[in-house]
Amino acid sequence: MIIDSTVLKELIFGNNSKYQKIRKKFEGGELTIRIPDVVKYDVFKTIINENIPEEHFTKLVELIVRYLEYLTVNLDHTHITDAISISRDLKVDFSVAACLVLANSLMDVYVTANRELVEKLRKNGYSVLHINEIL
Amino acid sequence: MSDMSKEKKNSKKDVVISIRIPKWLKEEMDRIDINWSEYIRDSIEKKVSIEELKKIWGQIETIKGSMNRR
Repeated sequence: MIIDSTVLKELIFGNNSKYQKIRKKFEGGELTIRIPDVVKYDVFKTIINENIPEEHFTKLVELIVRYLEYLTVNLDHTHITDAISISRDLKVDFSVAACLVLANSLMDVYVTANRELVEKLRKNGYSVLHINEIL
Repeated sequence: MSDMSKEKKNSKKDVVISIRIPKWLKEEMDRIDINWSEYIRDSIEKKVSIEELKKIWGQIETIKGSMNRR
């Protein structure tokens, strides 16, 4: 599945057991998790605002960056062009549009934790799942 | 993935490994028309990535644990 930052942030920083089950399924090879590169930067922005003690900061950030590298798919120019069009037409964040484009390209499903977004995208004919629908 | 890992991955050098499997399984494999080398290589690569991820996550959990104990 392709996840956006609403799911990814919860996977990394949250303590919700449902999300941790997803991570365990992923690590057990039962499902795949991929993110477009732009989603990675949303997580970095969160890190900047997290209250991480100085003595852990560098090591934790390094580990998170390494973890995300394994999930990241770099978008090519066609993906980016399509994502810009979707973002402009639907008035959604570029990283959301990038998830839609990547899901379509890899014939995978886009999963988000944002209910309003699910409704909006479905109204516009896009295939998307809310995280609760796969838990 | 670190630069070193990327460098290793891009290396053109291959090595040969051998595994022992039951005769009946080899016969079944021969009946299926797929590139077994490619399949096994992909499977090993996925497993290596997953194990690396688990290791990294273990370290993240350790740090998060010590942060929560503060």
